[in-house]
Amino acid sequence: MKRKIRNVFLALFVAGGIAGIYPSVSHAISIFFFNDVRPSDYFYDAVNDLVEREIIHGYEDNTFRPYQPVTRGQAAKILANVLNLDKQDVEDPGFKDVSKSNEYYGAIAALVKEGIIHGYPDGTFRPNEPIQRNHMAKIIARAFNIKASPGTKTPFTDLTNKEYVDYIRALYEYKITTGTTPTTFSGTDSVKRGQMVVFVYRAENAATDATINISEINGDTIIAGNKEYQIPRRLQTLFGLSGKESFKGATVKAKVIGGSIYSITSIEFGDLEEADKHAIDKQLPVLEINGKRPNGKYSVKNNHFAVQYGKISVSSQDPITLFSDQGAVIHYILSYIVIS
Amino acid sequence: MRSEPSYYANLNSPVYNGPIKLYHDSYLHAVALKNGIIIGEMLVELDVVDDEAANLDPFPVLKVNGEEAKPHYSYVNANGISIIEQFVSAYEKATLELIPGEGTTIYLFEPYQDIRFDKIDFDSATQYTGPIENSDINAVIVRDGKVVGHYIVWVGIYLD
Repeated sequence: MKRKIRNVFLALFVAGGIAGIYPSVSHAISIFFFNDVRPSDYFYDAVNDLVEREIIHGYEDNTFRPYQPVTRGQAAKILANVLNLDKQDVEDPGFKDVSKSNEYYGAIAALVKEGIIHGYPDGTFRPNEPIQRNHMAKIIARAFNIKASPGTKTPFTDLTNKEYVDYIRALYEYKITTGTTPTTFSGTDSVKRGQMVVFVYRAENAATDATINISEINGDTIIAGNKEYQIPRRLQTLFGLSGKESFKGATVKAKVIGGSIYSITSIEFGDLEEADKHAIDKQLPVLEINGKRPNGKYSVKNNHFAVQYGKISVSSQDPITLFSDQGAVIHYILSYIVIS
Repeated sequence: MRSEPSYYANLNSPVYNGPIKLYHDSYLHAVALKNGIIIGEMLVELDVVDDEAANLDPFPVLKVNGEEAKPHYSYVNANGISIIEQFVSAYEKATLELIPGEGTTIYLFEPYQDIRFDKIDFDSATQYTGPIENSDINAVIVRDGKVVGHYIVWVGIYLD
């Protein structure tokens, strides 16, 4: 299968007679035919989007079962996938009812590490219980760092549990929830699969594009002129370079929700300090030609570090070597420069 | 939000196992993954200054419709076997002739067949005896009873 994909890439490339690199990746058009998901359903777009991205899956009988309740464990897994959290490099949060062999252990531990979920005061997480809409509002708001503006009011008359009011206000303000009726939120009702994907889909789409010119970074806050942006824990590695000076004047293109960064599209650095280059190299597939590392231009692309080198002349006898300081798996592809 | 590569290498791309040798000017794009998550990526444009000087032994010389075609790159797989890959194209019909390296035998496998190099099933292969038409090539090169190479050719055919 791998070969087939590569063959298609190459065939398209050569057939097009393009001189240079491909302009962009065009994603395959995916159409899902769940027997129980129709274009008229309010969750149709959300289901297709999340299934295509393999964040949630349908069933083998070609159904999605949108009205089936979501368990707390399943919700944790979906959110950890959406946020692209590392589910393996985690610490045991110590929930009495979530062993390391539990299929949701990695996702739950990753969300605890991010400070998004905490479980119950009795030390349990109750992964097999259906998740309530109140709880979902809380973890969505925390996962996406969405906060309500001071004056935001909802039309819901059933917000009796004060613990969740601000989270529901936040979701209402950003149009992530519209309630179960015009005047009810039904906080203790269980969340159905269709509702779950809609919550997540709308939360992601609540993020808007922003270009941020960094004045300085103070802890987990980016200061850009008179504006401030919160950096969630999962993205702090990208801003954790030793030389904060490296970020002064750097331009960040990001998706933001309110005053919080949701994802990084790109960061273009100015001149980096050597220590920072070494720190970034630890994240990269490092290139060596005849045992020498060329100098490249560092940046952040799509929530990870990147390096791009200019044109380098090599001999066909030169071995091109790649390695990772962290022992990461390296995948690679070559595209040939065709002179048309 | 997903961490996606900016260019082309992804989880479906070959895993890097050892040095790559280039025979054509190429872009090399690589991604580093830890626990299934992309942590970094690299892009470089490599200009091969002596692309006619490659020593291809023990691999065959390929002629497509009578014209010699140079390989694109080689690398070593996880079993220590050298691999050469090349892409060729032709109009309407591609006749691929292999001129074997000295003392070598070429065993042809199905184009998309995965070959287990720790235990090659030669019963599922056919020995190369003459030109092949309109087909990718997935071949194992044997010399003195030892596997010395894996030879892959991708064929693109233009049709009017």
